[in-house]
Amino acid sequence: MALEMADRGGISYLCMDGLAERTLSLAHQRRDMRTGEGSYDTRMPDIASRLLPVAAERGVRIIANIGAANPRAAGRYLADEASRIGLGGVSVGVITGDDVSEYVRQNDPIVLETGRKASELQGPVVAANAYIGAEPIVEALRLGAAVIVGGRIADPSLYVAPIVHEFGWNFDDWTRLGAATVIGHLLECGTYATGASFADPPYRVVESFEHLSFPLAEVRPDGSAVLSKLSDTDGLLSVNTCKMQLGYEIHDPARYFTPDVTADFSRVQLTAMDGGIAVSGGAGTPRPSELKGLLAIDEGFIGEGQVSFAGHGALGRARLGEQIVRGWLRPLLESGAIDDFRVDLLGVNAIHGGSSEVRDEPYEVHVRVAGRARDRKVAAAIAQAGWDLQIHGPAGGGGHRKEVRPVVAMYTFFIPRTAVQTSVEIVST
Amino acid sequence: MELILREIAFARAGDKGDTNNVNVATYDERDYEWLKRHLTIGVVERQFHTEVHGPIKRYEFTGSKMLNFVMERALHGGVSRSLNLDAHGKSRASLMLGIRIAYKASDVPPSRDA
Repeated sequence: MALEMADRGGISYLCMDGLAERTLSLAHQRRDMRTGEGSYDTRMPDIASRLLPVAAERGVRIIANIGAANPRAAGRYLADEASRIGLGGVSVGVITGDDVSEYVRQNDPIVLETGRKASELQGPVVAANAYIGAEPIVEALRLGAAVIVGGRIADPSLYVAPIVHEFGWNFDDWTRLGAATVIGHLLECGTYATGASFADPPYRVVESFEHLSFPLAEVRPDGSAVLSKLSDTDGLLSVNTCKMQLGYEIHDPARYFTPDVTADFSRVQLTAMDGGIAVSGGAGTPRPSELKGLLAIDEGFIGEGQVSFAGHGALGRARLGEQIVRGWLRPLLESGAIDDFRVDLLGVNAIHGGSSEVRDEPYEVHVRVAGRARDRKVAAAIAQAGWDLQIHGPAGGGGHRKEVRPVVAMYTFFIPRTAVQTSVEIVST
Repeated sequence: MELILREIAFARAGDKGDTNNVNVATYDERDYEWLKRHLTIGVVERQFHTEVHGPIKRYEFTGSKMLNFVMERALHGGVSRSLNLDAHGKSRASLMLGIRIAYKASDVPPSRDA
């Protein structure tokens, strides 16, 4: 769809937010510990070989945080690929400075979640990144970059930057920066505004999901905008889909903190009109004095083992399975080697736990045993116990599976702006 | 009289660290004031109490007529370490919409007032 947006969206800028909290931790996991390579967005080859040529032809500038844990390597890769496929003169802007691991090492900041110093977390620091804002992107745009990649650029800032650049706003124009942040927020999750994660029949119906458009915004100089989607696409763009995205991952709507502004979403108006949804009323107050940072901490491994039961008595056998597996793991559970542990009955209580509504007995139940431990062997033993339920457990267990995966946990801290030095490098093909 | 929230409202859940937010809007904006009176923090706490271990706050989007519930220590440590299959807590929107609200015949939601 990004291709189609660039090709026939009539847009000047294509902004892509490819980085969630967990995505960054996954990228850190992929990073080769010796060379630091390979930890940018896994979609990069497609972006280079398919999107770049179309964007170059249409004059669409690309802004994305797909550099993930390694923006420099991402920029180099894009520049190399561009010249390899014959796209001469594509200037790639690389934004760095979000890596603040040195600051954390020297200053040992307080962690929001625990109220204690970072060094008191129970695991080594894998990485530390600060959320950075639109300013370095605007600088890269001024320098003529056609493609801009960075790491932990705040999601809405990717979109705020081209708006500020086009209209020549100042970075202390809080009302307009707030309005641009609202627009960025509505766009940053792509199809979340255009019909995805919305259908709940019969109350909320989306006719077809085959060809979903991303949303695009036509922004006016006063900071209001009209949201639309590509013609001849499926999905749904409505006041209600926009409402859901407006509130997505927001805490106090009057104070949404970003690196650029403290945005006020509380009075935003969404109005249906010909050609799309009008967005107005976004505002803002001065930006927070500190930037938010994410600490990635190595917290060992999650082990997971699963087995299914079906037919008459499935729930009873699943409950017996839970009892059996807790018995097998009792020595480990009592030893303190397991940091967190649960047994889920899928179809009964796996997702909402004790808040699940009690229903009639399901026909099939899936038992999932999961635990987190520092020691890979302990995590593996948890996974094995779930797997073993098929062999040494109740009758009729089938389809067992097991997995052990590393855990990079994310924690929050705050860092003074002066300690975060962003820089812009232009890599030309 | 009683309704299930899903009959008159819709919601989406999101995560930041170990904090979960669920924003709730009504299909008929005339029901918004009714929602504000009935979907209190206490009601939400009762529905979420086994999963949420920190305070719950309620905010208003006055322009778009939505309530936003922000729940701390709500996601078993957050997406990167939670053992819950739904580590993001996205399905909590459906837990919200499963809330049953009892009301008097004199206090019917406007959309149902024939």
